[in-house]
Amino acid sequence: MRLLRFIFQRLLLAVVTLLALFTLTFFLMRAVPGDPLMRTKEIPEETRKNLEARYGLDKPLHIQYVIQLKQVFLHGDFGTSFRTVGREVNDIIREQFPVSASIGIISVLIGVSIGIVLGIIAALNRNGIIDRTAMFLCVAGISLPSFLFAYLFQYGFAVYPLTVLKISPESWLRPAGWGETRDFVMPAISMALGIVASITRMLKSQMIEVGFSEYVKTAKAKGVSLTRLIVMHQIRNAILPIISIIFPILVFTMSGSLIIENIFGIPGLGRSYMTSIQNSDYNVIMGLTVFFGGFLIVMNLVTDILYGIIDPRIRVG
Amino acid sequence: MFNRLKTGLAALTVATALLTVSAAQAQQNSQADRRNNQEVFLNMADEPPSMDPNKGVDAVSYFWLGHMFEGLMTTDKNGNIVPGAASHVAVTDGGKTYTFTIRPNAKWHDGKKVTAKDFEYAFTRLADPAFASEYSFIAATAQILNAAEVIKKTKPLSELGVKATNDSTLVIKLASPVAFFKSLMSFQAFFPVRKDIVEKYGDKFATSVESVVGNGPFKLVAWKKESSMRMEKASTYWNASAIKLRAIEAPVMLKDVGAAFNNFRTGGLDITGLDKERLETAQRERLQVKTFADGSLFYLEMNQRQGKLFSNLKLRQALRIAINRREYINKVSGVPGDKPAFGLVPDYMPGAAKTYRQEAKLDYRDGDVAGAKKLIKEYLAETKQKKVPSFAILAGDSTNAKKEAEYYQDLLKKVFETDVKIDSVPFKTRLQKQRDGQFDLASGGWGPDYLDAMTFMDLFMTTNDNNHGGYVNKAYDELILKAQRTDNLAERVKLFSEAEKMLILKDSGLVPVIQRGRAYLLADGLLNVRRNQIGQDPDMRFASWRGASAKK
Amino acid sequence: MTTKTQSPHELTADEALSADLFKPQPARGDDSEILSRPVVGYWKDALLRLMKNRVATMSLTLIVGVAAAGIFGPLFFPATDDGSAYENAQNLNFINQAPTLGKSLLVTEDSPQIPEDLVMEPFDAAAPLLKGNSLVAPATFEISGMATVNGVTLKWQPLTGVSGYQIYRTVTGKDGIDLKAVETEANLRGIQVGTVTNPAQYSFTDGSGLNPAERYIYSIVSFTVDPQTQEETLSTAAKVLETGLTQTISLTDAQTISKSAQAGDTIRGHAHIFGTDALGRDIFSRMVSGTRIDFFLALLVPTISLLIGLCYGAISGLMGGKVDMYLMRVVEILDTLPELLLLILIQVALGKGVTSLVIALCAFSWTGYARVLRGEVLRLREIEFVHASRLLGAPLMSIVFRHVAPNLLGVIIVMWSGQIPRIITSEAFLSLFGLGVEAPMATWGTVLQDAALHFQQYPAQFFLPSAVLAATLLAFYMLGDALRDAFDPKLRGRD
Repeated sequence: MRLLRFIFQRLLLAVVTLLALFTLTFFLMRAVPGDPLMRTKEIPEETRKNLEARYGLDKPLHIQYVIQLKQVFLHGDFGTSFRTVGREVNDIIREQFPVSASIGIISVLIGVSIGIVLGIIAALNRNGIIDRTAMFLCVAGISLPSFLFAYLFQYGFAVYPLTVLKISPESWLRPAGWGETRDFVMPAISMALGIVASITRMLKSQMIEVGFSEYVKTAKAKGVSLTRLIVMHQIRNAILPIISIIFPILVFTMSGSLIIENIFGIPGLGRSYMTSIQNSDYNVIMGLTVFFGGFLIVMNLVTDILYGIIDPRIRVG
Repeated sequence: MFNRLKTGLAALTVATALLTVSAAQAQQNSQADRRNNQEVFLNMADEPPSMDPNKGVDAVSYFWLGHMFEGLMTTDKNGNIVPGAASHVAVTDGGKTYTFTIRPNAKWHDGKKVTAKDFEYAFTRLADPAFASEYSFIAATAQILNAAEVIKKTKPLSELGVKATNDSTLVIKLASPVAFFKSLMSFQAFFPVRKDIVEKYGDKFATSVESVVGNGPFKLVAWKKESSMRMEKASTYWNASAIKLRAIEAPVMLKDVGAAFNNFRTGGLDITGLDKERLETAQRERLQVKTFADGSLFYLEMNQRQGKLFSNLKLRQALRIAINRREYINKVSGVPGDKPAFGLVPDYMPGAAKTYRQEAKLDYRDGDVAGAKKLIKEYLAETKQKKVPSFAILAGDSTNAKKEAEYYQDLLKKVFETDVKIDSVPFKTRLQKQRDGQFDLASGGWGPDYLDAMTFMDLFMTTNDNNHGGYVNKAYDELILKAQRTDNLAERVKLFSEAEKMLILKDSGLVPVIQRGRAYLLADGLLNVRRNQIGQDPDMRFASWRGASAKK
Repeated sequence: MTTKTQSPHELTADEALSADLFKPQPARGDDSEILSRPVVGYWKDALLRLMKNRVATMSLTLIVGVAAAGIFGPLFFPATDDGSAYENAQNLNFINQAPTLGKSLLVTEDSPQIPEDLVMEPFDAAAPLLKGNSLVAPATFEISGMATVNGVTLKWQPLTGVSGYQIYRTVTGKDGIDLKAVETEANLRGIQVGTVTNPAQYSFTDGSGLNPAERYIYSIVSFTVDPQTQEETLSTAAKVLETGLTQTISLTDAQTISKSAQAGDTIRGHAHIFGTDALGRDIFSRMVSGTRIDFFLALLVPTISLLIGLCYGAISGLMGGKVDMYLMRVVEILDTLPELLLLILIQVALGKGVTSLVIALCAFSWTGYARVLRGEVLRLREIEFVHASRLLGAPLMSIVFRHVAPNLLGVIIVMWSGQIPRIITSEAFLSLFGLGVEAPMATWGTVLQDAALHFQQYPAQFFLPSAVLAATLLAFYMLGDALRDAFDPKLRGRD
């Protein structure tokens, strides 16, 4: 009951948060120099006026605000894109979010599982050669730009096997494209790298900390076997804080990566977001911002609830 | 908890294995298959902004529309203007009335006949202020009677000088003769549009395969947003026997040139753009690299508004002669195919008998630092200053734009002996600053809208919105207006030449730098791919795979 | 760890206890309370343990070394002709060079005249025409003068009856190429570098994007254009030649190396141990001078964002309830606002420079600290020893500083050291939005950004600076880990 009230309260707050987000974004967008009708080749003044009238951009700002506010919050309609004529923002989200989201989920699954394994090994092998190598790879994973890995994978997994080893393209990964199961492989791995790095580092430090805690000592004193000690006590407790970072990571990866989408030719949301901002495509910016905002809010709520369920010491609400 | 984790891990391993295995079952259209089937795969960087001919404004839209539609006139494989959907055109009334006869066998992709009404509808739609096409100005440029007034809403749409007198005759009346009217009629904005389809789909017109019906050699058969598009040869096209390719497909929309390059290397693409960052790699791998002039001309815009540094003529002249165009091309831009630009009109623009540039030579010595320094000294003496005030170069936000700006910065620091800053800003901020005149020096460029010197020459008229530097010269405006009113080719070349010399040599109103060249990769054996400065590019209408048709 | 417990000793009858076995210990006075070893406080102990950690000291040495190089390195840079900074000096004769210890260079005049295209006049109509019906390439094809990085002038025997000539260029490459094959196979000729539309012209200069590390193969073909259809026909065979390029240096630049240099001399150029970039600037010196800004940012930004995030997170976590809920909603909004929009706005409002860079970087990183630290505080708040001291009536501040803060240190250090690499990469990203340092000033980020564009073609430009970056970041990480261990009292004496 308490939990239900908490959830209800948070959802109510979520609407307020989204309203604030909407308002801020609306005015920030318009404060940025340039507007959707600005092109490298100037649109002649008369045409510009006609276009503004068509899109309702000639109305005073507060009227535009009210109109869009109603559209968004009463009808759930973000309007159409200014750049790709006739394309509805709702369609962009409906068609492209599942693409980004599926890659995001797969890469988080891969990243978290490898990260957990590496983190555990690194902690058990503290200061040993495996630990050092893992840490070095993590640093490389974080410090080198992600496009580099994407290119390296594209070359190593596709170009090299296909051109040098002459593997038949029908039975192998292709460098770029979307629509087949195999197209998940390279983008997901490229995106997973950063996740591996942060999870490994975090888990390693948690494992070490837990290793010196009283309950592990107690368990050890009671003669619990080493495997059981590590599995049941150390890992179990060390993984807890990981949950607090998994959801933000999940939200981040599911919203799509511009670089990965550009290099592997994926019709995700990352590039639409970037293009919309570059082109001051007001409706798309608004749609994606509010959508991601809502998504993040829900995920944060889920994290808080999960945390309360998993870790009884934390009271929710 | 851990048990669940273990199951999860196991599931993941299985999933990964499945992914790899499924790759083996996937089918890919290999390059060899495409050769045999006369299919071409190419890379389009983006989703087309609009597939509505009256609205499409950029190169990507034009590529698709140019293959799917055909105007009254069209181009042949050597770039000559030839009759398209119209079989015959009669010019009367001193070049002020054009009567087009529509081909009896011109058909839409759904089998209906192309009629003069379709053209009338499209032209009216283009000029309609309520429709607000970004390209409506081209109707005024074409001098179609009352077009300018209709756009300004001073005359009703019904008074536009376009009438279909019957199903096969279209009469277009012009306000004044236009030398390049026929070539304009091949332009995308003048493609025909079907009224019934527009009315059926409304705002959703041309947003999906069903809602766009063309009359050109290819028809759209698949369109996955932000992902892939495919056209196939249209059997309804009147000249279908001349079209050899069976299909043209963009299997992927890659913005990243490096990724497209990798895709080309593995046979995933048959034609794709190449940047200079991969030029040598491509040559070492013996891939077929070609270059072409993409039609655009790049220049430095100087802000000549009152109170700005470059309102001073001497400084503008100094800048114009100090720039070393060869050095810029060889060392900074580095794409073979780039050409120096001394004037405003590129080399390929037609003149009266030969090209415009051959008939109106414009040459001066550049890279002349000593000469520039002399002019600057004179400026300092005139204005009683010790040092040229510091100024800034407005630049875009790409690494290449920054590099270019840094090159100019280094050069101009030495020439002007003052502090030169770089103001690198995001795309729209740059546009806004250029429009508002908040800059000293900016790199600008222009791509032609139609095949005539006018598309460049009218840029620097006082009233032109693209005249960011604020160049004002009444005499220049008059020369251009005169050229707009005549269709005597030799006379126009003379007028343009005089205006160009005034703009560049006398006033130094802008500093032309390069005519841009571009490199691209082309699969071996793919023949007759035409690269256009204006119109659909690459133009695949005449392309074919060598030897493939012989096998059939 | 397992300690062997002694088995209980059974006493025999002989060993029966008697009172005389026990004697009182003489009193020792007051020294029982005296600590036999010097008192080591928390901070000193941490420092001692840090110093004992070999990896930590190595990392620290590396970081200090890099910092020192950044501070003092520029003092040792060579002079430039106009007294400007060496790391910004462009040398267009020397673009995109591989690492070198100094090449021998031919000194040339400052602005060598680019040879004009020569035209044969009067053009002899009796010169070789079309052979039978097939179009042929010019009979001779050679290099005029010297082929240098600034240009290669080609000369040929002009033909009549043709419309002009096309000139192609390709690179020899590692495996070499058969020149005979190039003559006949069009697709081996490479990229077209020029079209000559005057049949009487007999020279052409190519200089576009020449790389002195390559050998080039030039080919020439003649072509005709049908005046009616504009149809173009090429000669099937080409005339081919191969050439290397001479590396040159302009006289002014040469005189900054050796005062007595004259045009025509050969001198030894500067060493460029990391090579040069696309504008011929020395990459190593750009890295060295970039160290200052990067280290400044890398230390300042995480610290500022940490302080903001810590205060915010601590308030949120400690106050809990409604306050916590609202504060976290604010973080949520800030996290979802489009970053790019804010960046552009900061740029518009504050312009270029280090201040706006710091503000922009902090604006996007403090919420991360706030979120994590709030979580930690929430967790610590409920931990036993905190409850205990609260029960004992300890004031809030005392709980915060004695119990919560030291336990946060581990997380803080991990986050703090983890942010440093991200600062360096985002600094480069921001410089593209007009928020970074003023061009042509170098930072690690801009050096990498410039090189990233063509890392396939010129890998050294990208990977050498990347190695420096990665090594430094690794050192920061290792130091961070060591710091965390050192500051964690629970780990004392366990290493």
